[in-house]
Amino acid sequence: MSGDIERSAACGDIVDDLAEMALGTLSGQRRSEVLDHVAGCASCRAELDQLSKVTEALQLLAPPMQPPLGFEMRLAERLRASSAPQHQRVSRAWMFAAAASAVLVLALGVTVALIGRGSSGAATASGLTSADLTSGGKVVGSVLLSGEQPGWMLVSTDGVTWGGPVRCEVTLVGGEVHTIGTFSVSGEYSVWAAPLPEHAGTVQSARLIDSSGTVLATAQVRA
Amino acid sequence: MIVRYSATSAHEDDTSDEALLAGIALADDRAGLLFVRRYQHRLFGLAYRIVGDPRLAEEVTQEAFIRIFRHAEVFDPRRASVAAWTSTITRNLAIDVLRVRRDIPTDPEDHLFLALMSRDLAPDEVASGNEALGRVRIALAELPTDQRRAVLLAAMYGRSAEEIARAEDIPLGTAKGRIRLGMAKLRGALEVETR
Repeated sequence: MSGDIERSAACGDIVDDLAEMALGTLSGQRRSEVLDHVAGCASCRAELDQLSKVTEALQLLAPPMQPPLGFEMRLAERLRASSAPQHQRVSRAWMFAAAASAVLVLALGVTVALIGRGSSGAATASGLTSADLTSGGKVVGSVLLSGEQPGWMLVSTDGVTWGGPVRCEVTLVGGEVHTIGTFSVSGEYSVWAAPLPEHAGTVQSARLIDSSGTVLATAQVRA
Repeated sequence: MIVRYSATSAHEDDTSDEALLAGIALADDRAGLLFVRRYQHRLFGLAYRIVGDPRLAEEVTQEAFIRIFRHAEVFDPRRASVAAWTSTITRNLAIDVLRVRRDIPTDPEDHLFLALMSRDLAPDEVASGNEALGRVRIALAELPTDQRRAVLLAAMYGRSAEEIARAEDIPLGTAKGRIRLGMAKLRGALEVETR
């Protein structure tokens, strides 16, 4: 009986902090005390479990949002670069699937029909090439080229000082220049993709040009 | 010909979350891709609501996926659902980013509360009988403003009672009381289901 009384008194002190414990905002010594108590008190443990479910529910109330274009591809690259063995095994098929998804979204969004030569869209080995996009000697983004047929290029800019519509040109190894599209850039993070006129292996450089013809940024894909 | 891409929709695939995690633990690429497609919107949405910047939110979400992949083999479904586990990882990372930037909002009422109120349940959540989320949302809306603000500052921005007391210029006991009372009312909304 006396044990019950002691336990009740201990609970009374702990119960006040269970909500903060469930929210993950209790720290230091007090957190240790609460954890020690909960480990031996079924009543407080049940209370903490319920309050933890409230915290989880609040997180789940956040409305889902579409991540920026190219999210899957960048994630696949990071997973491949990770040191964990299972990450290194993220396949090229995923890389392609993610990249194709990005281009597909673009195609649906701006009604760009990508003309394919193969009879199916099955993933085949595709070399990815990336290069920094620079402006005034400063890196302002990147370009990523896929060697698939048809090839495509993903352009991202981040924190640039210019904005508005920009034209994207690629220069092929032979000197031929092609405009692959126009997109809008803001100072915030912008991502855009377009099909290439030739195989990505033939692209030597890319550049972004504003409406007055000023070259805003360049990327040297091949030396 | 329009490029054909066999984009298996995560929502069309009926593989369970737990099975996908088990596949990820075994380095199954297809499981990984399906899992990312199933959860990227939810986790990015959560990260964005906390950090308020799309670029940072992507960083947070990508790091969350890397940790999820890394720890997939130790996930214990008895302790939490996959949705709760992945959301908690994302939320904690987002809060870490806020703390590093020392950029912690003090008033979640405007954008965060409205966003949480706008949350429509996804079809899979309705189908799975997870109406508890709807009840929590209603209970959150019905909380006194002071309690709701304290709960959201703690739940979404990781602010301690001490930090809330300083930000709101109220005694520590008052801040702790608002958190405790608010959480108790939300818990009541959840208990309807779990009884």
